[in-house]
Amino acid sequence: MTPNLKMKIPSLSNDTKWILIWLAGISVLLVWDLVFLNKPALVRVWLGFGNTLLVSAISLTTALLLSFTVSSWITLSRWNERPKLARTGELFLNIFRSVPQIIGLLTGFLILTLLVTAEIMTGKTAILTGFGVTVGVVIFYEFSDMLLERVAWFEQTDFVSASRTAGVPDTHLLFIEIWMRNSLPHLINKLISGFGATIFLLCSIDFVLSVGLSSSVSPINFPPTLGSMLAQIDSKQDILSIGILFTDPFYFPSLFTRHLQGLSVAFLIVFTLACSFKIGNAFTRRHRL
Amino acid sequence: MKPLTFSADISVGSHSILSITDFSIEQGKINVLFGESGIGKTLISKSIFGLTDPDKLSIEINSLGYQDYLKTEQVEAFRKNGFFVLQEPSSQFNPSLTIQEQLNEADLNSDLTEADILSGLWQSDQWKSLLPLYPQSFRPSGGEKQRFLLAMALKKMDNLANQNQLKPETLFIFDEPSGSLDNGFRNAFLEQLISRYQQNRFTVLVITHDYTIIPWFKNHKSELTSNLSWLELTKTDSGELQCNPFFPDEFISWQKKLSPMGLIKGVAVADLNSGVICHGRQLSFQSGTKPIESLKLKSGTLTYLKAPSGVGKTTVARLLLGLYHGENLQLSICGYEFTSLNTQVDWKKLIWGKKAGMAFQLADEALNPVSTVKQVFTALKNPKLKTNDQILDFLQPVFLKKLDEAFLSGQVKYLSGGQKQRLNLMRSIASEPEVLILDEPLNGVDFRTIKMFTGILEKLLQNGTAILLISHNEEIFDKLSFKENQIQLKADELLKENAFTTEETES
Repeated sequence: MTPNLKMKIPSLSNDTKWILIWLAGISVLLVWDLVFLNKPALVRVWLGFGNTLLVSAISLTTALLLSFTVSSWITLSRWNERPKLARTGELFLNIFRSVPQIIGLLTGFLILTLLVTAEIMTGKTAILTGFGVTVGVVIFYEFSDMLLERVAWFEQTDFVSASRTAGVPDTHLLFIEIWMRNSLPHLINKLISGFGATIFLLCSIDFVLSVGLSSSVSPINFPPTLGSMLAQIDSKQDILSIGILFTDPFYFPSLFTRHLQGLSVAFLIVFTLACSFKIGNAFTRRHRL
Repeated sequence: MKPLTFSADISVGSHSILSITDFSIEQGKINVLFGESGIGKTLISKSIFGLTDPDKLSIEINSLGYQDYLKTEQVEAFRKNGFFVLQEPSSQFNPSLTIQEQLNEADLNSDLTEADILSGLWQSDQWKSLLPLYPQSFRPSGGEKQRFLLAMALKKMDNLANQNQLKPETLFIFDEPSGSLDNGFRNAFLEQLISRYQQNRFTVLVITHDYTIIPWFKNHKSELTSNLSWLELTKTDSGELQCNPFFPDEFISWQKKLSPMGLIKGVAVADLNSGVICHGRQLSFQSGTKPIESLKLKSGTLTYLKAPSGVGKTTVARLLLGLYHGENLQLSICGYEFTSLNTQVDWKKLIWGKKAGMAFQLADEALNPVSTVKQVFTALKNPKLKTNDQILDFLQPVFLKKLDEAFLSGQVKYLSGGQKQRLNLMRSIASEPEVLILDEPLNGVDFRTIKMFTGILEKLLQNGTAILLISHNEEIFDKLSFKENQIQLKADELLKENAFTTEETES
């Protein structure tokens, strides 16, 4: 008998495929950098990447905590016919919604700068946490809107009334039945877009910061992130060197060895954003959100 | 004539959602198809008519891929000469054309007028004011939209008859044609359908849960007995669908045996005054034609609240449970007094999950589809329903098959329509309420479940529960309740612009 040599390849969802593509792309770049990039630049680039991921994680955690707190405050107040409490929560949410994200971020970073200048905030972990919390505060209303939309959707049906009159406690109905059991894909989708938004906002603000916040605080003495790395003159020169290709196309291979710092940073930003966009889209389609 | 026979396999990815080998429709007859909600009546009918989206599902009809099936002459004939009235009327209307335009669109456009059809379906001239409207989600109402759709189908029959094209091969499918209609309007539609059928024997498929259509045919159209084909879609244990003959006499003899349940008079446990104003309507109650001061629900008594669709029966139920605020409200329920000043906090503290319960109309909406059966009950924090054994013991009497732990760990969305409806009912009585409100409890269930439901009702009444029943199944509940406990609801409109709110909520 001939043994069946065919291997069963598990079918992967498109979002999982894009996560694997992202991880593979990052790994290839890491190996390339290990071979061709000088050590101080290597440490800076990958520390910046690690810090950016850390800030994203902190910002998403902050956004989640704030959004769950505010959304549950508003919903439970409404369900218990406490209109003043509900309106207070809505006002709080609207205040954050009314401030453009970039203004909110700048204000947050100004406060961080003041704290660093006054040497109240000194450790790098503390500064990164400050970054994360600032971004989280700026984007949390998007999470709240999603959570409240889910509640509104269920309120349109008999689900909320039927559950409450049957004796399901309000907190169980809200947190377990509506959010945990029926909104997890929506929440994960929001986390994916929040991850992309954090990186984008961080890069934007780091460019603004590269102009300088004060004489004693600058992106140089802030912990490196992808945005601040991109704002450095070395990286800018590396990216500008792409222009050489117009006059000397044979310079192309040299880009990947001589200008690796800037290109690595640019690749990490663009590739991560593109992959998070693709992951989010595929996830949305898979769960028909 | 040879019946139209179909086999169908429908799946999403590797998950089979419908498989049937013997779906048969008698040509030149009126076929009535029963079966519990969610079993696949609509999906199979839409698929054979060529209306299912081939991009969303993997479909095989009569061993043909769906794209190939759609190209067959049979499907082309269905589409050209047939008509499919969808269950959800809103989805069949084009929001950018007025009702009048849609009644004369494409092959409905002819010299024939629809005025007689509409007057027959409305039994008044009220339809005239609705013709210039663009259909919206709330206006015309669900019942009005349904009647316009039925009018379109009837008009198409007239057009085809005029061209001598109304033949046994012509297929008209009506999916829940009376889903949003009172019996009066339903009967008006059936009269019009049958008068056309009697002139030209074409093929009709009526998909319905309304078993009371059986006595109507028996009493009013006995001459059609040989032209009727009664079918029932059931599911085998292996999950395959079967299209079996349904025996109408079984329903009729069961219905004949029905008699009033519970007590004629009991101790009043709930009392809602007449004259409450809610959503711009003043609600009042009548016993027969005599106005009464209040709606009284008495222990061990089945109170049947009747009113035409859209008047506000569900509003009364929601007022009783504090889900709506009413002006001039004077409610006494299980020893607690409530007025317009009370908030839902009071109802939550004193009534909900303790003294009163309600089985909402749509089990699909009322239950969390992704919860397991066990979680439906553990969410109630009821100390008597904590362990698997306790929940199984509680549920077993209303399920035919022997329940096991696998049933408890299954998600609600995988239950059949009848099982969901039973679960919905059981959750509402889990706290052993003194007052139980049942809103259209027979919606979407099959005959077996209807029989089982009446058994549950009897037991609850024996235990002293005061039951308020809201249902359009008058043929059944008129027999199950004492005349003294059949209450008519009347609503006087105070604010015209708010009048839609109640109707919309009900639908």
